[in-house]
Amino acid sequence: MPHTPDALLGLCTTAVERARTLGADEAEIYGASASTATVKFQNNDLDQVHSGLETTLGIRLVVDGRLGFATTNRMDEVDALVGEALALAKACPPDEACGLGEGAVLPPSDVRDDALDALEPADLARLGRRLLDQLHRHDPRLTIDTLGLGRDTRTVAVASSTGVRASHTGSSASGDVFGMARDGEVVGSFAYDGDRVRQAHALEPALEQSFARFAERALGALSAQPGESFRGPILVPPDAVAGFLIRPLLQALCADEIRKGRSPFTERMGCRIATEAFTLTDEGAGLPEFALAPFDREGQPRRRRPLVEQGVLHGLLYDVYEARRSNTSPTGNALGGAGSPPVIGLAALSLAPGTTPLATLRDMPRGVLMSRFSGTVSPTSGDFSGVVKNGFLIEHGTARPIRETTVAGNLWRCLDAISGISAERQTIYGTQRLPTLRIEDVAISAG
Amino acid sequence: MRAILRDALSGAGDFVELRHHAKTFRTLKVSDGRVERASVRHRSGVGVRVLAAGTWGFATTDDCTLSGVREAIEIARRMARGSAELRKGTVALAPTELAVGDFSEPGVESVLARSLDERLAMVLQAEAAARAASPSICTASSTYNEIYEEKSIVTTDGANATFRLVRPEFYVSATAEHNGVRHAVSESRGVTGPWTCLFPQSPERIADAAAGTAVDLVTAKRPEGGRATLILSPAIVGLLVHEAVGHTVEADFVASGSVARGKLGQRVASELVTLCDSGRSEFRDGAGGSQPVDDEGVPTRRTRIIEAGVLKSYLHNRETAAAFGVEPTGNARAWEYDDPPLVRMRNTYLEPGARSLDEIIADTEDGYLLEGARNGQADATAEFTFGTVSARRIRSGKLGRLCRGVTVTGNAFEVLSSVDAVSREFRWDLGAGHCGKGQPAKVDAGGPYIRCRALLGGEQ
Repeated sequence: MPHTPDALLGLCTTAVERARTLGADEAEIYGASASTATVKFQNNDLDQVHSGLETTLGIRLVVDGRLGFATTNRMDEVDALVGEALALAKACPPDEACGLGEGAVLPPSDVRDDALDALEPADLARLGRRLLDQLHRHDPRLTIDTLGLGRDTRTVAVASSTGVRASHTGSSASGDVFGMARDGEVVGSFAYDGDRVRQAHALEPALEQSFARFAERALGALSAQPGESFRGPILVPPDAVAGFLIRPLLQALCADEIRKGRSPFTERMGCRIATEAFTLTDEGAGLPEFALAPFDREGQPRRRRPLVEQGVLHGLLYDVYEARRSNTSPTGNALGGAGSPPVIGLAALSLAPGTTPLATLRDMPRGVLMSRFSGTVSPTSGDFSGVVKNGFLIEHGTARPIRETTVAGNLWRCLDAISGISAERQTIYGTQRLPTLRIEDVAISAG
Repeated sequence: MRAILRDALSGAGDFVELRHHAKTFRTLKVSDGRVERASVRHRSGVGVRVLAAGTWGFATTDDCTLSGVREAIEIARRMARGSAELRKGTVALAPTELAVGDFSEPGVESVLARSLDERLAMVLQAEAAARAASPSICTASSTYNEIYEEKSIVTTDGANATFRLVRPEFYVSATAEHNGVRHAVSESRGVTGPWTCLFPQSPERIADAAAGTAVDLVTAKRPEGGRATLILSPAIVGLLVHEAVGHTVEADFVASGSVARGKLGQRVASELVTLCDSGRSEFRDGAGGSQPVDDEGVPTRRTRIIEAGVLKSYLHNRETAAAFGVEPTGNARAWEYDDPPLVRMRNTYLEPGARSLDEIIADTEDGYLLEGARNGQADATAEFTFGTVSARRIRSGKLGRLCRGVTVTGNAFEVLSSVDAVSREFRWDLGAGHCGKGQPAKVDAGGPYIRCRALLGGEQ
């Protein structure tokens, strides 16, 4: 089993003291200890079961306004690691904003589920076999490249010379499937889906639902025909919203991107950046059914707050460094584990639902359902260009699968061209709750 | 470490494979004159695979003592036996000649001997050079990454190999601004081998080139979209052969039903196309995916996947080789100690031809020269989409206006069947790219310039 929160926090606290003794002005130690069990099915059969246990420490040190970072999974190498982090820090030019954040002693947090912790690899293998057989019974044309299930029990702790003391332990289970449909010599596009839960009883229903979505998309792609060229609406389901729109949007909301002038939202706070129905919320310590650590990678408290409210920009993402540069407070948006220094990002979010039922949203005179986007989005300009995967041409609610269809446009203009948001939402891997979006006036080209 | 692994194997009973993997990852990143990241990451441990009752059990431990490794063997054995009833088929391994000895790659010392100060100065100077290249450059960054690895692999059927290698990478990005429009361009290099392979030209020149391209492209328009005659640069050819062909011929994916299944011996490309994957650096030194021995202890080799347009071979590990009744090709790779070996590519390339690029351009009536690969994805159907850095119009054999890069899309086998010209210029050109397939892998890819037909995603 992984370290207990007390034991791991003790390791971190001791290492902070060693770092100070060895010459650091400030020191922060982030520890992670995890026990994992995974099973993988490949080529429609059980491939292997895996069990692992590992503890990692990540050390951030400040010397004369210079920062160095080192990490290891060898607990007997802490002194040597401190030496390496010190050497890295001393080699760098000074930066007056460099330094660790002030913190507080937080009570330990625990979101473990005993039933989930008790899941053995063999239990996961049996569930995987059931789900795989279910997919083949549903339609023998489905061919599964990989189907994986995993259980992860993890403790994290962070201590610093500036007062941070926090620990969290939690367990989760997840599963995903990746494959396609094949009918004789006809091969369809890849499809994949999956989910992650905090409770053992929720695992099987969640995976049944996500694997059903996988089957629908994989089979739908089998009879795809070339699409058509026109300017019109695209319908983007929740998992595609996450990759196509939310990922570049979050990057553009990071304070470091703003500072470097790489975001279109520089000096746009309080301005309208999206259609009025668009409300994006930082869910802080997680969605109700999937709680996260109440503190971020730097030990700063996470909190729920609006980022975009009714289309108006309300919040940016700050870590300690960027908050200091901007003369504001950190927002609990430092992400990462013990194996790397923190980066700015969002741990959990939600996009407010609309009022239109999904069925109504689909009822377009002519448009494309883009189940997956495969292409490039420039977070600087917002320009995007790519191929619609597992796509359907929809005409008055009737859908036919299409292939070799590209879309191009500008993502930031798309934010203002959202003409519909579904009332229904889907939670993606426990951390993003998103609706389906309809976006107007996209250039759609068929080969 | 090999001695501990050998000791741990004694009396193992079932087939056991032990892989000790110690990895050090260094990063220095500078952005707009500030050192954003100076970090080092050490990670080591032993990955243990036991084949018992026809099923794999995999256990990983960061306890590299004899008792720690033996405990992991027992856990892996227990898991294999405990789940065997859920497996329909039985795993078998193809017999092959296994590696014995020290296979360390050259150039390790030339990289490790560089001081921290020297490396940091190089990154700072490159970033400064990018910013100084033009008043239009508004932001720049430069990164040096270095992966140093030590591996030992022993198996109960005779593998007993060790090696060290180093994979340095350099990356520079510059963003140009014109009338409120911004355009970012990146240049990257990633090699396995000595410092001289990483920098055939100075870091400052690489930075200057990235900045120059960004300035040129910020005012450029997009090309017209649609099906077009395209000359693809080695970087894009590399992405094409890796993403759109290479993955479809990985034998585990073939078994799952990829589009390449059942096509051995069939014509799948123009006769000008010979496509290979190799663990060595063919034609030019420093190919990033080089590895002397794979992670099952099989010596790596060159595999001809397509020869003169005909599909000849898939890529195998020992398990898929047994299932297909062929020799393993040395393609089993694991990223870190807690990753199981999977069928992965190494250095994938198209063999060069006889004509020069200039001759091919002069012979092109109407088309585009596409340069630089940005990213790419491919499908089970061999349909692919790649981002490109720039597109230059060709009319009547002459290069014309510069356009911003766009996506290029097509079916890999159809595109390779349309190839009617292959240049003699050859480059490894996947830069600092890594491949993702559940776990990362350092790979390289490249080739000559080729002329083909595909769909260009431009303005409608």
